[in-house]
Amino acid sequence: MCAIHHLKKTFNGLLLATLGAWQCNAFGLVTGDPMGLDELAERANLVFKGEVIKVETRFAQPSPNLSRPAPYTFVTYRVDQTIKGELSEKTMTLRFAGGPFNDDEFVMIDGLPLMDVGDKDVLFVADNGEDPCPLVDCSNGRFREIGGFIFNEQGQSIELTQDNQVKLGKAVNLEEVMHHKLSDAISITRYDSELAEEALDVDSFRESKPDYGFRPDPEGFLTLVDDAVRRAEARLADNGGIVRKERNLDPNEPFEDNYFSVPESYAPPDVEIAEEFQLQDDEPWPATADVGQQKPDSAKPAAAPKIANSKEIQPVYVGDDNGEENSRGIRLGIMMLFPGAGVLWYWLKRRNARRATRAK
Amino acid sequence: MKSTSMGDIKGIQQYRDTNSSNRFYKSIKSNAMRAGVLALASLFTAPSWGYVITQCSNGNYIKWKDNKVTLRPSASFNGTGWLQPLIDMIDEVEQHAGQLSMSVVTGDNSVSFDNGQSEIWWAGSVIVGGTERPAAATAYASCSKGITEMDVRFNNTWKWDLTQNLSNLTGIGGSKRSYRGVALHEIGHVIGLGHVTDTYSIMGSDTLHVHFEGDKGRHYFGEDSTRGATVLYGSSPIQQALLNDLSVTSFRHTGSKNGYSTHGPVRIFNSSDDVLTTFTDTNGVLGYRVNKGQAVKVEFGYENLGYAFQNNVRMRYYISTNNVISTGDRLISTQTNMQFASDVVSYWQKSLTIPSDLTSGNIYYLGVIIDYADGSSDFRSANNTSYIPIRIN
Repeated sequence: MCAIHHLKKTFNGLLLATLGAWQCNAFGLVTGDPMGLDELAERANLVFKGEVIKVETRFAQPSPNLSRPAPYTFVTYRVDQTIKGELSEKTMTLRFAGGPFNDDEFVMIDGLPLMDVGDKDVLFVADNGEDPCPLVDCSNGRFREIGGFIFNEQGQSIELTQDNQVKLGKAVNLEEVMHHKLSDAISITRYDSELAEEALDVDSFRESKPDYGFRPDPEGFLTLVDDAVRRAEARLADNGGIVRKERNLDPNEPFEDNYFSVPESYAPPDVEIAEEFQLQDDEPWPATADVGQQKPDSAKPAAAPKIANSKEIQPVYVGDDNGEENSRGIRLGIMMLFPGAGVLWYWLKRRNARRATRAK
Repeated sequence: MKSTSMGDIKGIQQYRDTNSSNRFYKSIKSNAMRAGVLALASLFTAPSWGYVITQCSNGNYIKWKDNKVTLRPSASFNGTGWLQPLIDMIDEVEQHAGQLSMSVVTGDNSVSFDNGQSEIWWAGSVIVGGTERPAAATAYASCSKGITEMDVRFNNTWKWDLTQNLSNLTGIGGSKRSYRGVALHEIGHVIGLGHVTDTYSIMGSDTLHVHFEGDKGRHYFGEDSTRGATVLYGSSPIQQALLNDLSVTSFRHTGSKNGYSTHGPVRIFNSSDDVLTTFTDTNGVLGYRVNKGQAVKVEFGYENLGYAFQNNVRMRYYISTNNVISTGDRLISTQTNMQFASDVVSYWQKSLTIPSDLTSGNIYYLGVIIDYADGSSDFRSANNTSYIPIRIN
């Protein structure tokens, strides 16, 4: 089934001329996938459209590595449509690492999405109950339906170009995207300085022109997703692969923490210290230089000294926070009394850092 | 928020180009200067800020409440070449994080989440969403106390670069990820900054947020993140007075992908505003093919990495036979009386003429040095220059 007819009813006559340019392959699919829908569809075991009906915090089983049990956020969706995978239930509960400890404290991992009751999403799910973020590529596996349009986790609108490329359009300063309720007592707002300056609400966004060709409505977007899933399933069938059934979690079942209870720190990768260069960053440019284009030594990176045994190296910077704070306060006081001292201090700091580096 | 930023640029009005997200500034200090800047302003393209911070419903920002944080690299860093670059990057952030004080205590023998200590350690795997990542930051915070702990894990299986050689770096000449670039990005999270999609920022894609210094690429915190950090932690009058740091970059914001801003090389245009055809030099740096005597427009990104508005700035444009740009190179143009606010990266297209006596087939480097016309000192001079390779047709 070609994707064209879904988009016809989204846009009026202007679109008809454009539709002729759409390419439909043997499966009736939209071509062009720079945003990664194909990869998302391939990696997901479950793709569904639904609405968040519950967000609750549960704590993992106590771990000897942690001072207190780790919080996880269970997000339950009412499933409106399953596009890929098996799901016999009418709801699906996903588990994300992090969340509130109590009415004040919380833990967050950078890049994880935040869901609120009432959110309407299309999700690409994988490894629920195993991965700290059970969406393919985490936040990138979530698409949000807001005000009749589709946005990503960052509030960027989903658009399509005239030649079927999926693009990210304008970012919109949406309450649903920026504001999250972590618990009854904790609410946070993400402040994006760019959006704050150019704030578009949904009505303004609706009136604005797309950055590219046009904006699919939720139904049109689902068609794109469906097409991507069909292509992924065809590839999987060719390769003899199977789609794993995702676990539908029960928030009231005890579970083990698999993110915060980490083993002991690993060793860093091996590195040849002799290969390491330090840029000289604190010498002024010369006022003149030879016409023969001789460059000042400061413009050339200096080779670090060869060191036979890396274990002999001592850290250059060692200090405790109290000592550092005391000396900083004294420095500021001196600089206020003697402004020139500030310049001298910074020059000395850089010189000492340079000497310490050479001493290595 | 807006009033805070405007406080740094007193007397400057902000315009918005209604046809796009472009913005430019003009001075209202004098009619003459206004006329000159208006003429120049039309050549600025799309400066914009994009830092992301988080605020609780009680009005408190998610930040280090007492303006200080102690970071504790694990003992596994000791005696390795990974420790000093990490400390250097913490130092780099501290210099640009206003009144936030950052200190380091090395040799932590027992790292853990949720132990009240902000620790940095190496992990054998950092998987989130089924995708291995070079690093990840985990924040413990509260709306009353702010950030109380921030842990960073680096992935020891990643293909890291410590050399800073441009030829090694992903997106330039190689396939290695700069350890310093990732460290800066993660330390940005440590101080309370979120991911950026809409401007040139280390909090977007860190791979191409880098200065060129000869054959080397120096990753740096950048103006957008400095601005975000200043909003969180403020800057003192002394910092505003002393930390004057102008810089130039050869990269610009090109879009976003997977929740991060993407960056690409700056451009050289012909007189019809078409981008010239490209080549890459031996380090993999993208350059442009030009004709002798050709009138071109050269784009660089100019940043004010300090805390205060800067005026009396000059840019000098050179042709060099190698990629180390100095005042000893051939000066072909000078731009004076430039002004830069401390909160946006400004992209400037300078009209130049390629000298007619250059040798066809040769590669030269079109470089720029930014400094103060009166010779005033800059906090760090090494970031005052950048270049674009050019090949003479």
